[in-house]
Amino acid sequence: MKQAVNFHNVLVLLGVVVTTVGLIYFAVEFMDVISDWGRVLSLVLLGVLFVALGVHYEQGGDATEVVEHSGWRWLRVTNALYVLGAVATFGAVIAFLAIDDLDRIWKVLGTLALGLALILVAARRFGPHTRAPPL
Amino acid sequence: MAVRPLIVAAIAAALLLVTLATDVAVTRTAKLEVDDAGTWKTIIVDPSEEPFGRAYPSLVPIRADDNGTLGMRLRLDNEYPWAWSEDYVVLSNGREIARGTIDVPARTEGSVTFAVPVARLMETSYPYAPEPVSKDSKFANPSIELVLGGRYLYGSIALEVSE
Repeated sequence: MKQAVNFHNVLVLLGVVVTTVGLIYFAVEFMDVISDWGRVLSLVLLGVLFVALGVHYEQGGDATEVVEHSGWRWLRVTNALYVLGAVATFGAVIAFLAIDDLDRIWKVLGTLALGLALILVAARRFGPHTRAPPL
Repeated sequence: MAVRPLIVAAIAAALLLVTLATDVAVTRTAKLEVDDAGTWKTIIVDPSEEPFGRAYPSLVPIRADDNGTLGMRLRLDNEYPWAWSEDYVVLSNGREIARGTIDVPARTEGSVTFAVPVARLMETSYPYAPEPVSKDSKFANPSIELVLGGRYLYGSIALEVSE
């Protein structure tokens, strides 16, 4: 049983690492084939894809901890997908900042507005006050 | 298991495929060309698999007069459904020879032509000074840099200049 859990963790961790490398390779090596805006949009869509899959597994009950060791308790299938979503979103922001056609003031305003909007949406829709009170 | 997140993931995947396919199918190409007795010789092309966009035209030198000018043309081919505007600077071994902004409407080709004094190109043929090839002509290989929207591209011209 313990071996199976370890193997599961290794697979999940490898999946995160390999997919992250793939995302970085996509963002860097296809600059001459796809446009700047296409690269931003692709990374955003990849982020949405990963997060949606994470939500799917979370709602399906696969979010339980698989490792009891304190340093590895974060390692769940759902968290792995959320981490990949964060990596893709981070890449999309970097790609957005690298667009030559856009004035840098719009880049700064767009990035700050998006970051704040994400935090406010998280606070309003998924904050502690939205949870059911303890019994 | 919940179906809605799966639908969102499927839509994102489909949009991703459409975005990539569309983006790969349409391109934007920039070329810097030199007038060689009425035909345009490409010396820089972007995007390119060659480093820094070098186009490696034939080594047959372009003949020019020492007191004349050499025609150059920056040509942008825009297949995208939106306009393309770029600032450009053309330098010869670090010295500016042309500067401006080129605007290309959607799905069209635009170009800007300018003339460069040959004597100025000969001045900037560092590190190799113009080599005499006959009693009244000399050969030079000035380097050309094109700065297009923040990208640095490089090429060179083989010139045979009659004095």
